[in-house]
Amino acid sequence: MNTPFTENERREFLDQYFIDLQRAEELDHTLVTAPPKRGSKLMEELDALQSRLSAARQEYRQSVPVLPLSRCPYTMEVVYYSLDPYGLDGLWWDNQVPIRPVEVLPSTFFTLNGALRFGGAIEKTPFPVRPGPEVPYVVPEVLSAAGIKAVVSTTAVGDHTAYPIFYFVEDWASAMEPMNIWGANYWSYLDRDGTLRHNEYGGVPIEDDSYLEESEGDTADGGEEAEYTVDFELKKWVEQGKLLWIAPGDGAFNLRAEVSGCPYLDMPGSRVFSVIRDGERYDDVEMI
Amino acid sequence: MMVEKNMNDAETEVREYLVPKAVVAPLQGSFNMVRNRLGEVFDVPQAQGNAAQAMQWWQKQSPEDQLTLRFILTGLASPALVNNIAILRGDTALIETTLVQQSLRPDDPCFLLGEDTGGNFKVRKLPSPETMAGTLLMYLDAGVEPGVADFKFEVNLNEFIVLLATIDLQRRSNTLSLLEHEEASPQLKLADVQKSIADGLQYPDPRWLIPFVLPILPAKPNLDWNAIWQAVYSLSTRGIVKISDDKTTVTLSEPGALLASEMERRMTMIRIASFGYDQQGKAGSTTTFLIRGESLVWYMDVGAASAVVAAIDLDKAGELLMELFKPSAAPPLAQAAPAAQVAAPKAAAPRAAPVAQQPARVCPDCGQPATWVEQYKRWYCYRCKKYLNP
Repeated sequence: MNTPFTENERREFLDQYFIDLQRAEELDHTLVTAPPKRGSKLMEELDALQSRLSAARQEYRQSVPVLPLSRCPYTMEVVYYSLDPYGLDGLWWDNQVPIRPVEVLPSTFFTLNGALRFGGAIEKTPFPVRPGPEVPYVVPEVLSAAGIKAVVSTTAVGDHTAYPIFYFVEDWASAMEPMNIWGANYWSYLDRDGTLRHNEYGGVPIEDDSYLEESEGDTADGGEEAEYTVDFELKKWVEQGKLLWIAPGDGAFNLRAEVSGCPYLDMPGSRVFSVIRDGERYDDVEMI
Repeated sequence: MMVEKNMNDAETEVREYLVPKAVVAPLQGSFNMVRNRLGEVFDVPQAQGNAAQAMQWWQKQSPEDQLTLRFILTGLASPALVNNIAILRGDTALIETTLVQQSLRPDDPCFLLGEDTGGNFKVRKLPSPETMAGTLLMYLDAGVEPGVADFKFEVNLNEFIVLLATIDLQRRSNTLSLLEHEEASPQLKLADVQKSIADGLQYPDPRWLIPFVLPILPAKPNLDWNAIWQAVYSLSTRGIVKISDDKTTVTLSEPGALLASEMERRMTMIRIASFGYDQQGKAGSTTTFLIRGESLVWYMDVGAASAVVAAIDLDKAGELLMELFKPSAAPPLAQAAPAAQVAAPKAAAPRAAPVAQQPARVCPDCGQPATWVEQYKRWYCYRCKKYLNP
């Protein structure tokens, strides 16, 4: 498979992957409900399938496109992020176990949120997909903080239109906990020293063990989590210079700050977060 | 050439990546990397026929190395500031490297770019330009704390060239007198000054001041006798040289002699040519020399029409280096991302207008695209490191 994979390569890959995955689940069920003797052919087949699936995930991780999606307003670097642009059935979109490479990002990257407006048939997936609502939004608790800006842009995902919303922080020392990455159930970033930092929003960063000290005390507010909400009224954020935007189709990724002509204001579409499973869309109760 | 392995302990710990030049453009294309105008300065073959080979090379790299290599490839595609740095240690070791910064933040990671003879880029990632500044300051410190002097003057470019030629001539004269066990004469014939200029322009020996300075001058100096005489006369009115009564010889006066003495016993010469873009999208460059003499650190800032020469302390040198390594604006794009990668079929907003570009010129010697330097109104070839004829 090429790096990045082509649409046809990806289709063949996913078709085979899902066949293998289904067979592995069937075998697993069979072996759990009616355990065979050791060394049975079914167990050997399952082992082989699991090895193949593991290798396939690694291959997908290597080959999923890394695309220019935004620009950092502090460093002015074009921001590249992995994305499966061919459809929501790619393993990148698996909310529980998203298959993504480690990203190479500006030192100012804080997190990535997103929205997705459905434009065609919803893909059938054996895993949950959480692409966000249909229109872009911001998280006021984060964006109102000093030294944080967001940039919304547009890209295509299969027949759908996606809106990546990147957050950048001027100084990490003053940053709060990031929201989970778009479509994933965790946040992560590679810091300037090359250390991968990640955790689920609401948890404790794994690189930070200071919570151990706090838990030893009796402070009631030691583990208090930030409550994040969403705001779809973007105009005021653009007016404040906190939300910048990139025009759809602008391959130069010019950052724009003016309200006039901003295509992301008052967009039509559902403001309810979605979760997709097996080709059906449901309202998502987990939100961000 | 690349930064020497024994430059200092910290430098030796920096991993060097070998990147075949032939894989750079195909990989940048495969990875949808956005290229800006400044990225055209790198000597990257643009042939697309070896994409498969490039991909094979890429897939052989470890995932950890691919992270650094992606950083390098994006930096080569869209640098924010490029500093060509030459370091001459004594008269024996010339080190040339290029500091590439892709972020506007002066404390963000960057990399040093060199080349080997096998068609590879040699790249070392640095935590920040401050690391390079620290290395250069170490050269300027040279293990001996420099002194401080109140010494500063500004001359036009002709005067600057004549002054350097006079200093070069004085050094040759002193060397010759040592060889012949004769007392060195402080008087230098004007005809010899003229010849010193001609030799400096003809022979690219960086041990001498004019050849070391020449590669980054906006235009090759063309000084006739009258221009030389006018420059010498002007230098004399500033008290840098003295002209004999018969107007045939010139002698370095006390300030000029101090400068010449310092240059003769110099330990290190550093030449930095910085290329970037301003907020208005205009290309620009600055050229700076930092020279560690016997007792002082010298700073020479060469502009389009004049040169400033001053003695500075190490703290000031550090400030100047960090100022040089501070990008001011993101260069305009040369090639936007492929439309298919960013198009929004359902969001029918108008496309942005294409980025306006100067009519392109290529270097007649190497055939590579040249870059327009607004400051000097000249086309510059980064590969040959020279300006094209108008």
